[in-house]
Amino acid sequence: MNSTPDLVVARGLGRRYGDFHAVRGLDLDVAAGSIVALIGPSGGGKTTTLRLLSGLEAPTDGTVRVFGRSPRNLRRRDRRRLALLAQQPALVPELTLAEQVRFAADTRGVDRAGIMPALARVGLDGHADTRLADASGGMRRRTGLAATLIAEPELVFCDEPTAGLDPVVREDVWAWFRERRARGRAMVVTTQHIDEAARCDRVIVLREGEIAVDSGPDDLLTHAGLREQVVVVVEPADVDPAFRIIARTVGATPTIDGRGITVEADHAASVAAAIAGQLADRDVQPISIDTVVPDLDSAFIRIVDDASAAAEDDS
Amino acid sequence: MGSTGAWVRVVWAVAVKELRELSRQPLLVVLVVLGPFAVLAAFGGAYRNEELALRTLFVGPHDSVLMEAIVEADDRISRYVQPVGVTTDLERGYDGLRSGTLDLVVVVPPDPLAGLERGEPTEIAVLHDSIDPIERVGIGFATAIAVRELNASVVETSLGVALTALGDLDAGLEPALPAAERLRIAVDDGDRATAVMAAEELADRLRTLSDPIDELQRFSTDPTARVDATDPADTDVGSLRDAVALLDASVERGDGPNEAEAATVSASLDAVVGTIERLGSLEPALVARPFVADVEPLVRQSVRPEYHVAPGVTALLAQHLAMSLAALSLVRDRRRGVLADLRLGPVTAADVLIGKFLALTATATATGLVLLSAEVFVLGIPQRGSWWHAAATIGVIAATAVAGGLTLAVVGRNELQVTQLVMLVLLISLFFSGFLLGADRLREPLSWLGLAVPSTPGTSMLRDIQLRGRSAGGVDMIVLGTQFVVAVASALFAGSRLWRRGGVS
Repeated sequence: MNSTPDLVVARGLGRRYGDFHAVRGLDLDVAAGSIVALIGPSGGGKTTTLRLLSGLEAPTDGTVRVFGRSPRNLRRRDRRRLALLAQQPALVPELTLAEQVRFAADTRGVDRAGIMPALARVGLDGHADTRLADASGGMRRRTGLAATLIAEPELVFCDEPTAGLDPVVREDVWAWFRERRARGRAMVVTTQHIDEAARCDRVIVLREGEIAVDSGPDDLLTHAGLREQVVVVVEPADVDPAFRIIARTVGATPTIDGRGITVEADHAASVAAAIAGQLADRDVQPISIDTVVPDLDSAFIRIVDDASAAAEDDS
Repeated sequence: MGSTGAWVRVVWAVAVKELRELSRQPLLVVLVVLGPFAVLAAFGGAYRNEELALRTLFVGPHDSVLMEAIVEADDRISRYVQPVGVTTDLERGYDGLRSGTLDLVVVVPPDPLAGLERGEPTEIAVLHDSIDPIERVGIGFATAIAVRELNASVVETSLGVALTALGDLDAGLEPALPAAERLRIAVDDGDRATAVMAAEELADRLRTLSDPIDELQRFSTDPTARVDATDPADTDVGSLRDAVALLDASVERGDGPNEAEAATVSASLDAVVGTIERLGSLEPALVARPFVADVEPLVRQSVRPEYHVAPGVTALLAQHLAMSLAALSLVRDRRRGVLADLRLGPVTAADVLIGKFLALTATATATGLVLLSAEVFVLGIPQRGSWWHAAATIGVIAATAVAGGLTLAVVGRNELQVTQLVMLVLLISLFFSGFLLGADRLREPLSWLGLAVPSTPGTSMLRDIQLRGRSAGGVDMIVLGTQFVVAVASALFAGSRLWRRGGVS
């Protein structure tokens, strides 16, 4: 049992702008040493959720506690433990990259010796004297990351931290996040990349301000109702007998689509073998028998579509 | 590091960030220092430091006595009006005013003496086409002074003619006096024959003085030449004619004047001689203009227009620069998310405000001092008082304006709104601080608007220091100090409220 109190506890959290609910009924706990991903389509309420959790905005419904207090009334010593990396990092174009990180170090009271290592961590140690005004978008984002993380805050809210970064730097950044997690630091990260969400301890899919799915990354396929598939391709003349054989073998009705005769199964490989045996016994020669494992993107799309359909049904 | 050390580090970090932001915008620095200096230099070079001389056309009959007086007075009135011609064509005057080639048209009535003969002043119409209220006041002053000078010239001319006639009379009386003496002796001796001859000779002598007597009588009856000082002469000249008539009558009778008549003639002559002696010493110019002003300013040194403007420019620049930089800095940090970032960290509103306050006050003060130095050493504008006092005054103006700018940044939500608010303050400063018009010429309570901006006491203090050589102090210092305290308190209050309410992003 984990005895460490959660760093963030939100219950029924909501934010309305007039009649529009940007966030509604959000329950969330963030434990030390964990990374929580908030994913969802644009306008789904991810950024507003981060602003509510960090105290930049006051909720109109529900409550949120960070380090046991309202994030809008944190003590100075608690605020040293917290940081936010906004979608557009808060940077001063006239400063150099090193000066920007130094400004963060000074205002957070941490040792300046960490400036160059922080820049090196995001691959910018060779650009320390480059002005932010002259830096590329990726360099600015990385500088923002370095400035946010230099103080090693216990809890960091990151709004799409890897947007616009190349794959190599993204991997470096996630490696850094994992190291932080190993040191017991917590993060809430918004992303539009399902593969990044899969690296987190917990994935929350937000749609139209509400939680559509809250699960571990491995359970996303299940939540999406997606199963492995066996796809059998036969000659046109063999389609009808093959359809009947497959249905009898798996005990379910297959579908015929552009790929061939498709049937869902929990253990696609063994089912494919059984289907191949039954087809051979009845002299039906398949052109191909393939197993298909659904990807997380499909799961994400399915979840979002299902949530939309449910919302339309409710209305 | 203790809590104080940590606090200093945060404030210093904010201040250094501000200074770096500013120092890396060289165009901004060039504009804020060289811009106002160039404008001031151009103003100093362009301003015509000369008396107001209005280009004036006179409209009226050429032979009018007033026209003659105008020509006579040309030297004296040219300080105020610059005659460009005399015409009878009023339309020419209107055309000149409309086209801007004339400032004034003076219309002299066809018969300027008619009013005087009725005992009323004659009205001279003065036309102009100015719509500038200040210039209108100037025209009023210049016209009034010119007309007064014209009046004095008329008096001076007439009095000169009279005194010339009086001189002629004096010369003519010289040979008449021995005849008068012989007449008196003959009358006393009862020598009628000699008395008749002496009376005849005296009458002839006095008759030769008819021209100056006529001149004096014309002067005494001409309304344009009537001055109190000539009244005795008028009486004496009249009695002299009476004496001639009396002598002629006694000669015609054949027995000459009796004792009483001789005494009357003698008394008339004595009176005329006495009057001539008395009036002969008069100076027409002195009678016409008995008083002259000796203006003695406490500041004896020259005060050129650019001298007077320069302290106001310095105060306004320090204020405007400080306020703009402060307001834009806070709004820009809010837009960039820097404030939100800081608010989530271990930083308070006061930390940020103090850091910005120190950096921007130092920048605006330094800029003001650079401008002041350029004014003094390049444009030759005086710095008669203490440099320390001037620097301190500029510093307090800048500090007050920085605090005011930070407050404005809380009120204005974005850069456009803040820019407009700062411009509004600049406009108030231009009109109510005494920069353009003397602040004491404005009506209360609207004039109190000037008390809201530091350039009002600042301009006055810098003028005292730079032009009068006095030290900063008095009511102005109290006003500026009060503004400073109020502005700082407002900034801290508004900033803390913004911080608490989360309005930083």
